[in-house]
Amino acid sequence: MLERLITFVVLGFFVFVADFGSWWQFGGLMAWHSNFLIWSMLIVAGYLVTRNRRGEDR
Amino acid sequence: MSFSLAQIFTFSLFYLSILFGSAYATERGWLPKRITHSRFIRVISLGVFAGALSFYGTLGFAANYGASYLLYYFGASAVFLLAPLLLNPIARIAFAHKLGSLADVFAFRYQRPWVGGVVSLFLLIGAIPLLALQIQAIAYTVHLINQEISRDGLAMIFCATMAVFAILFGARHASTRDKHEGLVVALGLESIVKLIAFIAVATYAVYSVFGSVSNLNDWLLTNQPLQAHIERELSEGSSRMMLLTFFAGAVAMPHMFHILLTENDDAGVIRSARWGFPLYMMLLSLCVAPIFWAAEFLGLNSPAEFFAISLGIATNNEAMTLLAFIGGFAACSGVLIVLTLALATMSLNHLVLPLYQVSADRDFFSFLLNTRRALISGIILLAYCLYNLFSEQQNLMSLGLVSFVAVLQFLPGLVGAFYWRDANSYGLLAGLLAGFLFWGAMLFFPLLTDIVYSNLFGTQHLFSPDPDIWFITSVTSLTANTLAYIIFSRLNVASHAEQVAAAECMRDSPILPYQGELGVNSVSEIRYQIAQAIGEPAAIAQVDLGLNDLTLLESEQRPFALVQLRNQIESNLTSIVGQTIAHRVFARYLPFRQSKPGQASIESLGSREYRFELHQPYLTGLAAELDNLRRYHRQLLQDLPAAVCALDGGGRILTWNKAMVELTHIEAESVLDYPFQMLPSHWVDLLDQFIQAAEANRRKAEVRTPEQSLTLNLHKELTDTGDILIVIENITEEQSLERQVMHNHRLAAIGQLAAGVAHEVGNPITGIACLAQNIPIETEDPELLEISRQILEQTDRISSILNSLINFAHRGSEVMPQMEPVKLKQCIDEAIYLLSLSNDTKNIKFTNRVESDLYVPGDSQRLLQVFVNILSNARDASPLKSEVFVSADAAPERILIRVTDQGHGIREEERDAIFEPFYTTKDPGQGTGLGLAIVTTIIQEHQGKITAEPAHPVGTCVTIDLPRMSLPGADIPPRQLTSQAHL
Repeated sequence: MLERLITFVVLGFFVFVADFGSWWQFGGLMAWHSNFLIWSMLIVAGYLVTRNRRGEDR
Repeated sequence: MSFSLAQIFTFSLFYLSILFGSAYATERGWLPKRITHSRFIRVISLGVFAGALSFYGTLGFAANYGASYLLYYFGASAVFLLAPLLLNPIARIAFAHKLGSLADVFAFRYQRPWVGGVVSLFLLIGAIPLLALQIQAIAYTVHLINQEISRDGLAMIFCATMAVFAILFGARHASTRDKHEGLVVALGLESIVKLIAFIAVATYAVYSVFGSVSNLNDWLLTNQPLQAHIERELSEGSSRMMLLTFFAGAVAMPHMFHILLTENDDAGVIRSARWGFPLYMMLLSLCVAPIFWAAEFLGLNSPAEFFAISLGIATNNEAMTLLAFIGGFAACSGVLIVLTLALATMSLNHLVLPLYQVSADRDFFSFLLNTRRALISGIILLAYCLYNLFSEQQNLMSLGLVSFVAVLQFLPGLVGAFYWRDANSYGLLAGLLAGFLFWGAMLFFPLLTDIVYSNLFGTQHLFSPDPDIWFITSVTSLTANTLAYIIFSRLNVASHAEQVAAAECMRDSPILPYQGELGVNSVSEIRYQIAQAIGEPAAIAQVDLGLNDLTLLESEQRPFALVQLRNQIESNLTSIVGQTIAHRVFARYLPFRQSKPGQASIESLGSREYRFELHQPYLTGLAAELDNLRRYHRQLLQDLPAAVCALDGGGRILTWNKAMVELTHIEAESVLDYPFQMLPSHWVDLLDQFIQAAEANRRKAEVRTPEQSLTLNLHKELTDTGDILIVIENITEEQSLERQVMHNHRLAAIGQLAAGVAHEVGNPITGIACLAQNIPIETEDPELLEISRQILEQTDRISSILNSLINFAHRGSEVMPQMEPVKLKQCIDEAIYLLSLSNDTKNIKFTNRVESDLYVPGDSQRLLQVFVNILSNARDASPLKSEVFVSADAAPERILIRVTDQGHGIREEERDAIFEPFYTTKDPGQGTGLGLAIVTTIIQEHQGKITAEPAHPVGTCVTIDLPRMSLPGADIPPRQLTSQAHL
């Protein structure tokens, strides 16, 4: 599930990349960190997926 | 503010000494392995991706295109976030086959000798601008902090230093399976340094230039510098293409592949990098905007790309300037070192070795190392030349994009390799040629000719790869590439080798399918074949390494083990010379031969099943059902009560089921795939004779193993594929029972015969005895009287023997004895008394130690016969004036009676035989061999057992085990001697 969510969000970013840029630039400079929040969530999701598969490393 | 040349050299030298020192300390093992081998170091070393473009170029991009600079960081991160789609399959194949570069991956998948060369050549051409811009970035930053220093001279020193580092710490081993731990640790350190430097500069920008975050926000609200400064916003298409370009760069750039898959063999690192690398890139990207805003706030005039270093200079902060310089130095040097190493390895394996045949008498590994070192120097020199051509008039991101668009051309072939079974080398070649044609015509050559022209004639640069040109070039080249790839793949059919490689690339398990037979039969033959290609010393080293990897012995002869060894050596050689050369060497000197249709393949069933078991979790639908059916039949074969083994036409053991293991005590793993001649000699003789024989069945074959003697029934069947199926039944136990029955029948017949003989002989003997008794009446002649006495004596003896025979013959046919309490002590005393009546002169002393209150259920007369027989045997076996002891150990249910003499003892083989009829250890004429047989019968009738064993220190102990009968009121008194008798 988390795996699909990551894929969905990253591919969604690819499709709507221009909108993300506009949001960042014009939508609210006060919230210039908005994109980084989404990015952070992806990193956390990636970490959770990794943690769930840690057993494979052993 | 300006730094002197000496200061710059001191700082650079200090940083480089730390870099070299950490690498050297790691190589020498001075640093703890938990640090040098940690996943943190391996993941953070991936930060090598963030070179001059990351530290400098993105600031210029932010100045021109605002937030689009994030595409660089996020595009690279997306490779790891979407690792299961592309990165993991590449890693799986690379790890499984020790593929050391992207060219190796392509060569493996597309299975043509020229594929690796084409990929390497294009990558080399495409990556050189990226190397040149690292040199340019360093030279320019030095120029910024001291404008009197010659940039070209400094760039040359920088290049030379990096070449020395790359040769010292990146080209120490010929094989990529030997990791350069020092290099990885140094790169990890570099990544940490540049991250800290970038964060420090950004923090300085926020808290020193603006004063606080709120001040920054206020300033942003009022000035909106990004909007004001943006010349043009990237179009939607450009943004997507840029994202795709950096995505491709992170997966296909040689330096990323080198750190992620060549210098690392731990799949766990890739899993950790899934979040670690995006986090690293996000932290770097977070720093770009504050630095840019601070530069705007201060109104810096320097090129935007170098704001990070200009900030310190503008605010006269030497520490910040120095930190930014070191950070940039780390970023540029990391890319320069690793990219050069990766390109040198690829060039050596796919461009030099295919064209230059190393003579067999030359040291192969030394040649490889020296050539790689020469290539490292050559590539850095080439980059330096290009840097000299470019000068500082091209911005870093533009130059970087030239390289990234070149690398983008590998994306269709890479994706097709893992997701399109029909993709083939023709499509790949056509796609790459089309893509690089557009790239060269629209981007690279215009840039190059413009630079050359402007340098020659001193004119202004007319061509600049701005985003429009970049976008059109990337879209056109990628479209042409993809179309050509698809069309030519469709027009041509993939070779068998390509289909096999495609199947493996698209599968989730890196297990090779069955490959065929080898034309060699021993390890030494493999060594000889390989030596023809790489020389004897290298061949010896590689074969030994392969044997060690697989824990095989030099004497190994199993065909499948030899195939495994061949593949292992090829895999090891791939890590040294690349996939193309390794594959060529083995295809030429150790090729596979396919089995004829229907013929048993060389691969053992066990080996095949091992592969099937690995695939089992991935099977679905019909394949899963078939596999279940296979497993069911396999289990049936394994669990068959009959021993089954199958041999191929050459006598190699293909099957060895559980019953076979139980029968032979030989584990299946130790014989499967071996010729049956390696079995113990008794099995070889049996199987060999049976295989050679015309008959399909052999009954009651005898085999004497070290443990036992076996009687076997053998059946064989010749299969359609030429294999021989042998089924073996172990009938040893049945045979033993059969022998016992026959023995009993024979004894019964003898008994009946004896009874008849005894009856017939008894009458005349009685007559003779009567006549002999009359002789004293008829005469007083002493001589005749003596004769009469002797006749009577002999007839008594004959009568005694006949009585024994009759008793033995009638045993078992009699009515079961009447069971009544028999006082054991009394019975034994009576037997001793009867023996004392005989005229034996040995003077044997009988001692009865049996307690008086012990009773057994039985027939007192028959038990008396038992003890008379046993005691008389003891007496006969005893020496003169010795003693025979009778004792009893009573348990609640049983009584053990022991009769122990001091005679010559009993041999092991006699212990059972003495209870057999007609077996005697006495001299001829002294015994019939029936006494103990009768005793055994009587004891068995009394639900007891009798055994004989040597007594210690001398003599024989006969033990009789009888059930105990408890009488009311009978106590067990203390043990005492109750009677003694002397004979």
